[in-house]
Amino acid sequence: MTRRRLWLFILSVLLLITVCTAVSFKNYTAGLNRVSVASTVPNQIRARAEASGVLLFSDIQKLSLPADCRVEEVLVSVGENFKEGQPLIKLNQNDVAILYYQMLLQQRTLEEQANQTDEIRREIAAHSLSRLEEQTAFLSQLQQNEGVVYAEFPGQITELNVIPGDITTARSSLSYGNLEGEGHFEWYIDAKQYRAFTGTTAGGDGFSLELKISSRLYLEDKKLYRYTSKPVLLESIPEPVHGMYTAIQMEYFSEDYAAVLPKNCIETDSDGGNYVYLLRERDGVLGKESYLQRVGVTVLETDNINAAVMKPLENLVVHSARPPQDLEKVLVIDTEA
Amino acid sequence: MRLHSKGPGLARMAVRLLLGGFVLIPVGAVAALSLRSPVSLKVTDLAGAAEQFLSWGQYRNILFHSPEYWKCFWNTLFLLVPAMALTVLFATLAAYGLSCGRRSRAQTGAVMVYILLSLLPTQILLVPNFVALSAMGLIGSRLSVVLVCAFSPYYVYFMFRICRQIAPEIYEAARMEGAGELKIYRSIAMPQMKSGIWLLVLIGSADLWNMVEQPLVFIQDPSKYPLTVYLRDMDNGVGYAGSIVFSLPVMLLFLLCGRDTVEQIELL
Repeated sequence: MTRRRLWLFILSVLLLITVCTAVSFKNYTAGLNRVSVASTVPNQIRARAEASGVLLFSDIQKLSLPADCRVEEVLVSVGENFKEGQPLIKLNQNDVAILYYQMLLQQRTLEEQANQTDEIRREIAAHSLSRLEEQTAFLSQLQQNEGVVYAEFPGQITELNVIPGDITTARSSLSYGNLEGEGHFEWYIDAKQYRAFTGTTAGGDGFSLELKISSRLYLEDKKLYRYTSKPVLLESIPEPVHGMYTAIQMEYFSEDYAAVLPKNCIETDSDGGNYVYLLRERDGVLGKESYLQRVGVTVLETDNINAAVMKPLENLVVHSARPPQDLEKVLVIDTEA
Repeated sequence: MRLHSKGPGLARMAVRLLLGGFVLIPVGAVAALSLRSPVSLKVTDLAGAAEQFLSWGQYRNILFHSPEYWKCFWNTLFLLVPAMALTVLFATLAAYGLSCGRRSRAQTGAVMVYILLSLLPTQILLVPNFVALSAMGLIGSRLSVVLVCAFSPYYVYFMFRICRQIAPEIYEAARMEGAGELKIYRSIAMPQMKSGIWLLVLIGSADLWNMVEQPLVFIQDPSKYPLTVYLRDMDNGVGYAGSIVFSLPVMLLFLLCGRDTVEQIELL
């Protein structure tokens, strides 16, 4: 072999190795997973549950309208507040008068039956008579008011199932809440969101309340918790409406934990175990290499953003360009505080 | 001789091919496995089989996606080149010293010592070498391996055999002309040993190219390991191709120097 051929061979090999080395290093750097790391910090776990609460009056009255009367005018609407003595509904005066006299006749018949010697008939008649007397008294008052139903105390219409022109039936009624009474909020939260909540507030247009939870009931079939608040002074709400929906916020503050980390760092394996990835360094062929090590953690408590774990951790991978893998070599692009 | 004369030619050829093939089985297996796809594919048809078993994937990964491999490749060169240069220097100097004078008992004894030392396995010398290098503070550096490999008694004996073929009268004539020993070594012995030196470089390079124990024991730093050590830890998905690529430079060197090498070995 000539010396020239030998040197040519050696130079070719060196050139080839140089090219392969350069390309490999370029591809290697480009292919590394890029990660950001941080350390756990002492903190609290704060959880917040939001629900839609409904305001309910505690004292709901139902006023049954006399049957077979034409409704001439409905003077209130659902949700409307009324004062004591305010007209609510006007019924046809003639219909009321006819009904009144029918009731009187029926009352006299029952009175005759009540004087009979048959004890059973006498008992039945006595019961029916007392009920009829109440209705007759109401109709008498209604007739004197020319068919107009007046409010006996301040309140709010919660239900109304007649409109002008209707002929009332036995089911025609008017429900209203007593504004002088108390109201309470009722709301539900998902069982997964359940905590030992320490603060609960309700808020809406122009008002904000701190609520004290009066009852909590777990509805197993629906996997929900039903909460009710203690009676709320309705004066604190500008225009309280029965059935009014409002935002409820429930807050929870845990004890102080020594190690809190972002919840998205934690992954769960097929056995239900939790683990995180920590950044480690080792002596490798390319010098100091950064790689990831999968480490199991015991999660004490979580909220929507953070999780408390048993032991403080350093160099915790909080973000990676692609899903991290155990013992994977990585490039650290950021070290967060 | 009887077998040679009576045996049929075809049978002899078959036996030779069989034995030759048997020796080549490991190399063939590595070459075949290097063509397997680095990722396991589900083989359902012929095309899938071809993709699984005839793939350049391992070579592509080795050549363009394995910086560790090439780093170790360079490490091998960084060990080989200085070690080989020192080996040539020390082996030729020692060989000249042993062969230039008149034969004496001391000279014969020294040659015997070299022969005995070259017969000792490398593993036996690892511990004393380690102790000595540790005392010198060289453990962990490439110089430790270079020094251990540079003073090889086998190569001294090897060069002695070549140097001995130079006629002593040439040295005598040079001395009578007033030439010093260094001048004789450089101007007479070295040119005479030239082809032997090439052979030494060839054989020594192959030896150093494949060394495992010394770097593993003396260097102890993965970033300085030669490729022979790194191959052990390589992923099997690309390890076979890595082995083939690693052996190519030495194989090509032997193919290029083939005729000269055979001639030199015949002279020894």
